[in-house]
Amino acid sequence: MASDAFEREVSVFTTKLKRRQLSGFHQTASRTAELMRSVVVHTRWQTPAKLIERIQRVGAELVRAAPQELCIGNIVRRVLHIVREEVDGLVRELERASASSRSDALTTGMPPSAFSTAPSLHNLLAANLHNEALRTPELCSAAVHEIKQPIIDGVNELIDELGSLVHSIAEQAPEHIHAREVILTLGRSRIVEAFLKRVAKTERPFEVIVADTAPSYEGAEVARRLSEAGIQATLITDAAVFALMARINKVIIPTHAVMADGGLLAPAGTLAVALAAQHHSVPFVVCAGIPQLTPIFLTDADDFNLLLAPAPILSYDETAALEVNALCDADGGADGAEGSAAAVVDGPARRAGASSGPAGVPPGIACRQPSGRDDGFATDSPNPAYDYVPPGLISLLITNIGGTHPSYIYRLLTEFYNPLDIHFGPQAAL
Amino acid sequence: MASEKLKNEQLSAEQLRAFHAHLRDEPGAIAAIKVLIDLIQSSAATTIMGLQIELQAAADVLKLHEAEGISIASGCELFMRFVTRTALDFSEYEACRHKILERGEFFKEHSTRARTKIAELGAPFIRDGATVLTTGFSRVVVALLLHAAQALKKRFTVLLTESHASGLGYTLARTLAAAGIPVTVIDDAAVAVGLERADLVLCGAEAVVENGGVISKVGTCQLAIIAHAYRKPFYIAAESFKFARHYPLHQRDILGSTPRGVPQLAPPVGGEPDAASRAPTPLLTYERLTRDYTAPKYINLLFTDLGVLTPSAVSDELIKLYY
Repeated sequence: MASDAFEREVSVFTTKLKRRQLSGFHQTASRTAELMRSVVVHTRWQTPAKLIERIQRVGAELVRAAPQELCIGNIVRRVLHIVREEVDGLVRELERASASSRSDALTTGMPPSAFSTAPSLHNLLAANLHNEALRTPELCSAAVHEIKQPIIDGVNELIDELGSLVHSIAEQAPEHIHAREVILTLGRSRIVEAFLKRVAKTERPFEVIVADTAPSYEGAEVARRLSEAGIQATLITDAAVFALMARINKVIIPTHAVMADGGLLAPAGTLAVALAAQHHSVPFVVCAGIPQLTPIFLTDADDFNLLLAPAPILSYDETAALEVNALCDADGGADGAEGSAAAVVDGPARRAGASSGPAGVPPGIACRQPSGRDDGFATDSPNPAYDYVPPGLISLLITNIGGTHPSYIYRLLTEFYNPLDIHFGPQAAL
Repeated sequence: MASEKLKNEQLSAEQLRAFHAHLRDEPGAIAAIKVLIDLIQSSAATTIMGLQIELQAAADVLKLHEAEGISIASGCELFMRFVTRTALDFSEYEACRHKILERGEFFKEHSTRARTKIAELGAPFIRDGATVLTTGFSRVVVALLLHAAQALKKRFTVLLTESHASGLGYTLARTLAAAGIPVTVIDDAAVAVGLERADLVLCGAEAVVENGGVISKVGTCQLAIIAHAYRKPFYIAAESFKFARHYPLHQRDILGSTPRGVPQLAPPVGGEPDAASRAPTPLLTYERLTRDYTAPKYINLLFTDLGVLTPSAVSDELIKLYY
């Protein structure tokens, strides 16, 4: 059965998302779009409302599997938008046909198909939208097969757009990078890499300074790849970004997502670079595909953020040593504290304690037991995946349809998404 | 005076009384629209043109209202626009009038609906444990805070300025405290101090102008500037019928209808004003400003019933309506 196969596909995809075997824009976006196409092609739907409901349900399932992969939700919203547009076109056509057949066109002035009409000042007084939001069943049951193909075509176009996105962004590179410029970049992304390599093809001499992007140190790989493409690349530590900023002509960085206010959810460390760029009045340019535009406002800096494994910052062996230090501190303290601290320390600390004390870590480093913690761990090493960069720090956003300013994002959002879909499905919001 | 004449012709004393009654519990724009709908009901006009002239004259009278002139003007304009558009769709006057009244009835409940929507959209921006600073008394802000506390069960505290002259800060404080939200009232002059411990600022507005700035109770502008200096988010909660086709460049552009030069002083703390020592002289004048204009660059987001908007999105909504 086709539907069984489809369910299986969805479950394979969600499992991989949950395990983070698939992550990032390129791995998730086109897969999501293909699944959405399957929904349109394979599921039985008599009315557009049914189709929308189905897309919302599958979409919500995908989003739930990886809420931090914002582009999944965006692709689902794009597909919903395509469906709504097609249905709207159909409804309008049918109405025109029926209006011309009746002599007295006693229709209302507003297009009454509220199927895709979002609230606006324009129709504030015009209609009671809330009741009409999901009507049109009888209208479309006969004509529904007419819009199936256009919807599939629309989704195919979206898939094509995802395929050509890196290329379309890179093609704009020669307009932005001029001869003998010094570019700073951070993080690793296909888009920025292609962008820089495109300039190399023009044989303009330019230099790229790559921040090593701790703790993943992806910068080293980026620098290697750029130098292989004949670009003069310099690798620096993240700490040197501010010092070198005075020599930089432009900062060009990738991002995880662009939020509704024009701010970025970008790899950790980006905010520091953005602030340094602002301090030195260096243009801060962001490369992102349209599907990365997310019509959601962050209500909290921690929304959609991820805490990654602390291992790259603090390795497992070191933790063991630090715990023993914490224990030593507790020993020196009050007697009562000693008992409780010792009691809660488990496996690794006891093992380390059995060997000859803290090895390699000088006593007293990062060993203070933070107040309120009694789990035996003295050191906290959070490793957040993303920074939120406020829109005020961004000079330019280069998308696959051209360059825009963050304050213009709202316009793009109305173009690509329907406001009714911003929070689709029951649990989609987070 | 021309306006006096119009007042006599276009609005009966009864209608004006009704208007002021509406104003007590509704924003100016809605009160004005209600009056205009009543006017259509009782109108003797037999053509759309006649009706529009009557409405326009009545709107001109309503706009003269001192405190809420701008909000009323935007409400009237929105309604007039709607009448014009509806008129284009009907060839029969009666059918058109009927439709306008039918939708008018629906619209009467709009401000409650809008407030609920804004509360739902804006409340998630209040985090658990946050301190919210606000000024003045805005029904939308109250609805938002109550929604956050009661429906979303957020725990937050509110810092409130006393909103001198009107003293509405105290009314707001009592409302919020009665709903179980911890409130602290501070001096108007202490906002810079208070802001240091606030996490966000949330204010209402009288009108939202074309560039995304807002006209609101005096004190809002300074609060926005301080919030900007402290890098604290500054949010506005306002219904979309407050969107007005104004483009103020300076504070003086919105002073038009505020009473100026009137020495009405509140009694100073600890005694009656000494009238003799405070009497204006040629070199000493008093000004009581009631509203100010906050530029869009100080505003992070606007919570409206059309959605959460950035200031630059406001002009788009206005363009959609008027062009």
